Amino acid sequence: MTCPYCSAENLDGVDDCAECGQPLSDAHLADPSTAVEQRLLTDHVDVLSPKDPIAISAQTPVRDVLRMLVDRHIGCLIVAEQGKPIGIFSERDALVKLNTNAAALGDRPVSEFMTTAPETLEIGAKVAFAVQRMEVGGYRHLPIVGDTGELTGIISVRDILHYLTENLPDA
Amino acid sequence: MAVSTEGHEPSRKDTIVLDGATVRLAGDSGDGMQVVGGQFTNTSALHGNDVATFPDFPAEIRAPRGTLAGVSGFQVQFSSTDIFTPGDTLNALVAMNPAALVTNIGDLEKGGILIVNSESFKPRDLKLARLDTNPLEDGSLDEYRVVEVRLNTLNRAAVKDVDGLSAKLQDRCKNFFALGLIYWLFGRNLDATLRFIDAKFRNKPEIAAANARSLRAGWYYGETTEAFTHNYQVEPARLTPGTYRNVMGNQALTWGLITAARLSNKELFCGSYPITPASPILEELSAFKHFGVRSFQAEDEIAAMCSVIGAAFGGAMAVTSSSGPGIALKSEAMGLGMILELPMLIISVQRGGPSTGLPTKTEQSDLLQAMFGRNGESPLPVIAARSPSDCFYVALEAWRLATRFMTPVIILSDGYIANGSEPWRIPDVDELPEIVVEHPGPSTNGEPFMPYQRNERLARPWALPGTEGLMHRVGGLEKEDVTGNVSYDPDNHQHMTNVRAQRVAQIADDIPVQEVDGPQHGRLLVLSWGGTYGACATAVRQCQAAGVSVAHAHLRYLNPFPRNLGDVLDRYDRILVPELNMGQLRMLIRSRYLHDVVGLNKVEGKPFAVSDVVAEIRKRVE
Amino acid sequence: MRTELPVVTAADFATDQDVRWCPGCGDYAILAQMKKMLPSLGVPRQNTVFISGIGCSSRFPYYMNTYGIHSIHGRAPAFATGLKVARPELSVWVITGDGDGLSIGGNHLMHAIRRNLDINIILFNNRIYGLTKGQYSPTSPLGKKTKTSPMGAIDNPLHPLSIAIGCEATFVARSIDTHIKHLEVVLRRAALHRGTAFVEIYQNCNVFNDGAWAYANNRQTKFENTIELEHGAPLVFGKSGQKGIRLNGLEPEVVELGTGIAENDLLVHDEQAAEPSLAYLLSRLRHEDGFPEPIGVFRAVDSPRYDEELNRQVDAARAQQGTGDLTQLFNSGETWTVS
Repeated sequence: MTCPYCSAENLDGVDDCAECGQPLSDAHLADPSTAVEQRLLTDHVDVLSPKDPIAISAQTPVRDVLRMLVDRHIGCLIVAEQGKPIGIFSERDALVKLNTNAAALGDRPVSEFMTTAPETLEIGAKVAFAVQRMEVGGYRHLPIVGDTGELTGIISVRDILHYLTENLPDA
Repeated sequence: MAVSTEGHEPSRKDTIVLDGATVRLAGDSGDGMQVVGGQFTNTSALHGNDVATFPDFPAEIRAPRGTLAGVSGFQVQFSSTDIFTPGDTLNALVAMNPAALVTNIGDLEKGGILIVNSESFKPRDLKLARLDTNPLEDGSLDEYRVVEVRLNTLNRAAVKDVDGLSAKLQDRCKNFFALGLIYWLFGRNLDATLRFIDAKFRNKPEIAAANARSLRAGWYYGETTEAFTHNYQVEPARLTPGTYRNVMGNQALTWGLITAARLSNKELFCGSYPITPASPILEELSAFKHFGVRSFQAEDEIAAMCSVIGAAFGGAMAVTSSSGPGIALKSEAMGLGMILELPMLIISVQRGGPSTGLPTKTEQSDLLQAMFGRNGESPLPVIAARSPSDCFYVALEAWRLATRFMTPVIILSDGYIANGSEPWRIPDVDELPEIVVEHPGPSTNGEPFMPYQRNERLARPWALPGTEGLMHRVGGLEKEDVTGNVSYDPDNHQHMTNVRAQRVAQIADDIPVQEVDGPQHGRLLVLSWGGTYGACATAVRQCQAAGVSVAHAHLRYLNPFPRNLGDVLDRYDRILVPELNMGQLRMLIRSRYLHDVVGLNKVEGKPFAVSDVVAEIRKRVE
Repeated sequence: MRTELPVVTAADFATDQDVRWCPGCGDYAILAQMKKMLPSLGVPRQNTVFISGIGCSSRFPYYMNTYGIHSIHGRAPAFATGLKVARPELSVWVITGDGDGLSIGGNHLMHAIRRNLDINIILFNNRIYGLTKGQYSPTSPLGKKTKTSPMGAIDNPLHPLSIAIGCEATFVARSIDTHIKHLEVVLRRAALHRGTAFVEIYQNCNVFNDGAWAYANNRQTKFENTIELEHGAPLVFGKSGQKGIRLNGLEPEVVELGTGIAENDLLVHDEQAAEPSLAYLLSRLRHEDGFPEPIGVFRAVDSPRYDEELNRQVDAARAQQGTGDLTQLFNSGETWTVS
């Protein structure tokens, strides 16, 4: 590969350039090939305008949780303790875990049905990271946390879709 | 702050003169510590200091950024006196991220200077280094002089006026900023590195400009920050006059091999298989075709050794290079090389064992393998290098012995020497002694050739295929002396065993006597071999300077031992053998000379600290 | 100065060593043919080297008055590689057997062949381990009962030529210890081939595996059970040449000539086919499957040779960079002078 710092030719995989000595171990990643890829790699998730998350306590009864999802037209709620996310409860959880028993289970705390230790992203993470996390984990929502792990926002796959369509070149 | 664009003035702050200092630069493998470490070494050598280095490569290739497994370091000791090691404790440590801090802080002296990139101590970085709290805030670094540098920001500011640089390329210059800072700290001149930048990055002028700016900015940071009230200086050392260059051990060994080939009028053949830490020997030799070197990357270790024997049979200067596990595989073939009595070199660059062990760490635990690792009574001469530059001379000497006595010779090196570097006084090639090699000429009198007819050194003739009248067959079965015919005769087998042993033993008459540094007799003798030379020599000298009665003998020849070694050992009350194994030389000395030798044994994948050896000397001298 | 090659005879190649093979061993015949064939090559004895591993076959070098190395089990090709690379002008022969070459030595054999070193590899296949007294070998048939396989061997056997062709050997041939004229011709062609010449010889071990090749060397049966390959000729066999091999799609089949089938319908041998597929197909014709086994040269093609290419690179490096200068090398890079 060509050293990006001094243009000398190097064998693939060498740790440092044989000419100038600068490290090449992080230079082997492919460069973005389209404008969209470039944007994904440079923009941070703050460009997605993360929404204020609705945080609830772990004791909240499931009936109230379902009510909130329906009334506010949202896809998920974050369960937080002292400002830090400890769980996430989404429409999918409702469908899969409550199912047709939703009524009977209405008094139970959401902690029994939430997905614990959810994946989170720092505000400084690149959008590409958000896409990868969602793809690999199969999530449609990602809570955003700040420097000390406190919940600061939430993004959904819809936000990413919106961002992508905004950045695609005009047809 | 204004950054000067031409030359630089000496610091206006106070300067404290030191005898020497030890600095380590540590970061992620992507942080570029190796190249700036090399620059610091070079600059210090040009300044006239004696230098010694030790690079510490990451244990895993391509470990994720910021993890403990990905930490890469470069240590250099520079001094105004003669030094032999890259230093025990550090006077200054540059840690580019928390992982580098965690893995290296243990070696920094109390009150030592700790320079950190404070902007890489975010929660994520701390998590990757398995830290629950931020060491910059939790008081754990209170006993050091911590200098927090906002490296990312300062570096960006330094290069912002250079056009055409992406953020990533700007950040790439950070290592030069760090370098500039420690150049200031130790009163080094920027010129050599500015020349390096100019030359190496001439195809990318914007990067060259940026690197130069970062370097100067780092220097000026030191000059202007309140964190430093003074800097340091280490004066030039008084070295023997001559022209010097830095060499690493594997490099010196390779150059020694091609020089030995020249001196003996032979073409070099190298058959090897890649193995850490010996692969660079095969790699370097592969690039020396214009020196007539034929390099062969064999399909496995055994094929490598066999190809060497084949080439030696044909008359080439044949060498193989490997490490412990590879030498184990070669043992059967080495036995054949031994019984064929052909000259060849087997290089073992020792690493942490046993089995796959610690490939990137150093150790000296293959001595007994070199001595005995073959079936039957199979003695081979063994010679060990003591430092990076010594590897050059050991290669010459090993080939001299191999050809003079018609035997394979084992050269022992180790990971520490192989990767370490030190100044080497460049020899005048014309002054190096010739290595005389003879081959019997064609025979036309019809008499059968006697392949095992021996001379006064018990060496048989090296008759090359292609020579008329000398046709003969060699093989691994026991053979009759002189004729070389297969023989199962009992007396002959005893005789041949004796002759093979004697031929190796009497090499002792052809090698120098053992020298001793210090009192010629007394309380304690430190007996060392291989790469521990530096730590032992330094420790002994320190003790001698403090009035302790201790002498130092460092062995180059492990088999045979020098002819006066028994006498030397007799002159001391006590003998201490420090080795990076569990007592291998100690075992050989005890069994051979019946002395109750004691050992200082350590198997941690790290070289001895001078202080460890000093402590043991003091203990043993009571 | 010599103007003509010295005349050497078979007797010149004989050594004073007593031959230690068992009476009746097939190796004698091979030794005799080698001694007879070598003088005709015009290569001086002193330029010939025989390298063997371990096994009955590997005693061969001791009985040839040339240079020789009796090396270690399975590794002869590696020794040969080092020697040939250092001394490309020598004529190098590797003598190996089914155990030495295909068991412990399989790896080295494969690599020597794929590198196409200009050497000759002769594999004596007796389908047994003779020297160590009778264990089964990688070419022993399924079910073979031996000391280490008292209930019959359960390993699927290897077929040396199929392996060699799989490694893209540029010269592949088979002969039989008792077919002395044929053997001499094959050995000469192997010697003249530039590149690795791989020859399998069906060799009879009359002590531990007598009759393993009886179907092929028995006077009565050999015409039905073997087929002599000839470049450019159709595959015809049988005492009166009345049978042939024809391709049915990709499958070979044995046919009777005459009943509507003529020589034109038969498979025609082509030694020089670029792709080894034909040679491979021929190597799969086995007696137990009802086919005659081909003998002769299966494949003979030209390809770059490792020893030549390696030395070519050395010459090219010298031409490009000039012969290496030590003083220049030592003083390259940063140096400093202390006065």
